Amino acid sequence: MKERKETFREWFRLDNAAVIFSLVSSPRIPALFRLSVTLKEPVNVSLLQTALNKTIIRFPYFRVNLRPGLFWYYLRKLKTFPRVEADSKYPCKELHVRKRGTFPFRVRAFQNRIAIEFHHSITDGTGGIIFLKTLVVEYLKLRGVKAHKVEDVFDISEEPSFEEYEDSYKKFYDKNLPSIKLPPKAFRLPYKLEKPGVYHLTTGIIPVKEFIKKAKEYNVTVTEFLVAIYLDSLQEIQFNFLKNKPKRKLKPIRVSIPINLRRIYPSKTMRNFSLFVTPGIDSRLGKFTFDEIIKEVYHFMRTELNDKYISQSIRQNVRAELNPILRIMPLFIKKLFGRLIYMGYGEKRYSGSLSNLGVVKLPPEMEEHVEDFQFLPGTNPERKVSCGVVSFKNKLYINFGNVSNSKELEKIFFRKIVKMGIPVKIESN
Amino acid sequence: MPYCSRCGVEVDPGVEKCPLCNTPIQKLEDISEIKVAKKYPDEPIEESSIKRRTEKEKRMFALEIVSISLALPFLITTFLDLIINKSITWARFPMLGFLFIWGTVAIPLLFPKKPIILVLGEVSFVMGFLALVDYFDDWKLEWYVTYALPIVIVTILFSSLVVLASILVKKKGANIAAFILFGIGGLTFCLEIIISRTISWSLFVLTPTVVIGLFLIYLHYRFTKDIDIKDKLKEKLQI
Repeated sequence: MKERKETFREWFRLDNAAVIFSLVSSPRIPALFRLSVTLKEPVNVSLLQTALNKTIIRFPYFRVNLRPGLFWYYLRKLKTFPRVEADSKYPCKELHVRKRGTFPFRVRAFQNRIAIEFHHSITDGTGGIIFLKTLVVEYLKLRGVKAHKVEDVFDISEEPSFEEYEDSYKKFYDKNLPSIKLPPKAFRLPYKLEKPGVYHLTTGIIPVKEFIKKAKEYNVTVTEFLVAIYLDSLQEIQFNFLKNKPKRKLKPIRVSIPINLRRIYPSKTMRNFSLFVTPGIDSRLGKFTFDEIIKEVYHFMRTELNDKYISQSIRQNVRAELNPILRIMPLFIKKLFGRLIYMGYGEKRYSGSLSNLGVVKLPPEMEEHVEDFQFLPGTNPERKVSCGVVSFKNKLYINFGNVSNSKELEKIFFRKIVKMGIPVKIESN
Repeated sequence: MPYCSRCGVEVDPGVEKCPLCNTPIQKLEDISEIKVAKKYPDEPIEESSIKRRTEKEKRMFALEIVSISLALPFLITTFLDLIINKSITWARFPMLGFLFIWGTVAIPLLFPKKPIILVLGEVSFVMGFLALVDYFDDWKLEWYVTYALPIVIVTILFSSLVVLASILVKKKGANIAAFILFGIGGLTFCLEIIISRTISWSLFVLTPTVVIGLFLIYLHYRFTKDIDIKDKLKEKLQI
């Protein structure tokens, strides 16, 4: 079998989503996202290093280095161990993934917190969570905490299965589907960029129960509710900023919502397997009320989250990679055009992104030792602000990563939530 | 727990300004002394693996590369000539060429932002190079004194004058173009004197450059106020 080769072969191909990130990764587009766990006591770095050395063996598909081939980048297995690094004021600063011997992720420790910044060329949020959880469980075991097995935490004594290596996009690719028309360019935040590497973080901590209660009042899920508030905030900025522009010249607002495809397709892959749906509102028609936005989002999400539509977008992406003209282009030419394509076809069509990783659970005995679990989204100069959401224990952590010089969006967003009567606690770097 | 009075959000005790709107947080006396652990380090860290070279290190690195890559062909030609002819014969020309290239590249790398050393150094290198080429040819100076030296001096003189004038004028615009035109006119004029010792065709160059240059200077200093071209167009077109 073809896939089985990858378990013993020294190298393997990038998956479909990783290809674009391998080409565009730069100081402005770090293509990183960050997951972190705060413990109740200071982190012992040498113990963490021991835990990391044990854990990484179970995840051979992360113990790799991005190497250039003649036509594509590929991943080559490493024999070395990643090192725990110190944390920085600005998270998600560029990782030099293309450098020889560099791991495409970075484990950082600061006071009570263990954080991992993953490059998108190896995995998405779901794979990242499993790795971080396994690492934290190993670390706490070394500290003497006993725990039961819980889902999404790997047993490090097991052998990794070949299914975890698989490029599921290719597996579920159906070439007979029709193509999709590109959506028009969307409204983008009008703020100036900070220097590359600066990342303004705003964390909003909200009690989950109250938030769900409020969402239930509108009959929507947490994600849909968040997206509606996000769209409403973007709309407010657009109408404030472009007051004098005639309505028909306004660009539509569209947010990209990453979807974990493992829930739709049977896949156990640890590499990228997510796609976007893009709910939005057409500002040319006028200002939408919050109820109208909720309705738009609700129906859009329920319609689009269907394996038929998703298969169509998978086909679109994989087909682009399989294009013979693109395939015979040497890597350096691909690199030249990669950024243009990423910005022009991808990023210019979204006003922002909101990524909800859902509920994260650790073994109950260990949850006592853990303060919080957070997800920081990656961002880029087109999008400027991205939002990452995760819920752990009874708190909802909403993280805004911002590379512009204005926190207007975060301000409007959280003030809206406060106005609904839900208490919000704000932290920042 | 402290709250931002504008946003209504809770913040950590010890935080001075609201992270969202920068409004100062009202401090209650009993809380003000509590120090809360920082969420993030105060300083961003540079990646330890990449060492950023300073400007000077970069220049020295460039000099090293240039020196080595020129030394190789220099040595090859020298030894080839030595092996074949048992002495330096034809190799003196390529050797001179490599030395000249090295000198012109090394001076700006060694003395950046020192215009006087830079100009003097480059000029002396050019002059020395030309003199040696002339001398190596048949072991005496011929065209160097009559042509090469005066042409080099005149060229340097006019280009420095143009550069100096362009730096010194306060308002830059069409007057710079005028200086360049004057320089071209003057240079052609002097070249003809040096080459053929008469004044004939260079006047055809000198006259239009001077006239156009004067016109540009007139334009520049007559209409000193800033004209908003967009506004002017709007006024004329009346869209």
